[in-house]
Amino acid sequence: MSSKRIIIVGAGPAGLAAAGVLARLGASVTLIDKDPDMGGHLSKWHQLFPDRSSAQILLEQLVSEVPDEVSRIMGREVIGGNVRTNQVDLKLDEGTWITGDGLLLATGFDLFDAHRKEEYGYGIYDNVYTQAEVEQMFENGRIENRSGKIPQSIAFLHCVGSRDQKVGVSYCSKVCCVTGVKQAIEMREKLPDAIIYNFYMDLRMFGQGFEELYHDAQEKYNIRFIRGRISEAAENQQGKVIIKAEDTLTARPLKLTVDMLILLCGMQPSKHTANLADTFGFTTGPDGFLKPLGPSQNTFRTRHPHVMLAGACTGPATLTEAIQAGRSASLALYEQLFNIIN
Amino acid sequence: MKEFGFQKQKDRQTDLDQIDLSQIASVLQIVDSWKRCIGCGSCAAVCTAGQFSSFNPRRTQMLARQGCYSTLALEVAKCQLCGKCRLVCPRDVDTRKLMHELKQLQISLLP
Repeated sequence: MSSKRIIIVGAGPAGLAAAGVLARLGASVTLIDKDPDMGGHLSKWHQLFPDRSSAQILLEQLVSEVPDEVSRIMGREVIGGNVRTNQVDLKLDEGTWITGDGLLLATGFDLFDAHRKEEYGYGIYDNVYTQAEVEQMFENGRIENRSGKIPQSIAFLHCVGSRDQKVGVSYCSKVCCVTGVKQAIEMREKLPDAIIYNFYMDLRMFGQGFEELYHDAQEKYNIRFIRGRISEAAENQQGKVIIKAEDTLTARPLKLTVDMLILLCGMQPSKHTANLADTFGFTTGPDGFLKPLGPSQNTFRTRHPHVMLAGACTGPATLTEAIQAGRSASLALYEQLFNIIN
Repeated sequence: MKEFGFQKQKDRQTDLDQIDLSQIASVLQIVDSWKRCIGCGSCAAVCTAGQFSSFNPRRTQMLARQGCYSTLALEVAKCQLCGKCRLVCPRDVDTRKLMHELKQLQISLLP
């Protein structure tokens, strides 16, 4: 069996899963990532929903499944290239070119930039945070606000940069719902006496174990759920955050002062994904994510038979979905390049 | 009929079998963006009138959507058309225009 060279762009969960499968099947794999380290967003996370397993252990497993023969080009970005019949040429930011018989894009997502929802005061007020910063706090084992105080009241706000046409994001990022519930539970474990709120519009607990986590948050962890979207935040002289919302279920306007406001930001196509879509002329959907050929079948195929897509570059995805997509797309690419099916 | 000395309470249920929604359909045509509302309550959170009265734009638009005309007429009159609701609406509903149209409808429904 003559070896085929496959380039994987993106060494997050989808890219790592793909690299493991393709290398074990005998392809010659090159893994590229713009970051110096592998893992993507997973490397910045502490615990995973719904089972609170360790993000670092999962990352170590994914990395350990990538054989040593896989060539790794880290800290390099793909800035151009050509997709030709049966061949792909990619130009890296250092000026070198690499060539492969097949390409698998796993360029992932960026967290929605919370600065864009100015009414929530992220980057303006001291004690407004994103869920990514909160994961870092959990990882460091210290929950404290900007002035080093332990918070006694915390509000999570769902749907920041999700289902919001004012910032051009009409889709639902779907994983923030369960993330907010998971982080609220973690907060409760660290801060038994704090008052913890979740402000939501809908709670979409679609995955296995998600609804159960929501039950636990209500029954065991005393998290207060308020159905209403926060309309604006302000800061008082003590650096606390004053929130305005409607408690829609009592149909009354509501005011609340908290020590920390945590914005659960949605997913948007990563800058890298958007650049590659432009460079190679890949089709994108109205949400800006890369659009595969089909919504049910062929969810990883493009109009080029030897170019596949995997993970959150095609839309908001859970880790489970990203890893599954990486493996499925790998098999499809393998079948294509090794003429298993025609 | 025999008088028992008590009054029968009027049924409070919204009877969708009986309600005529044609008037609301015409408002929906004028304010197309209204169809997108998900009831998040951002409008009610910032509402100028809602801070000091029982007015609630989220609830008011829902009363209209369900054809509860008698309650609607009382509610919609409280709106001052300041338009703050429109600034915060995540679904980009033209809430101010909607309230204006509902006020017009309310006037046309007066006897």
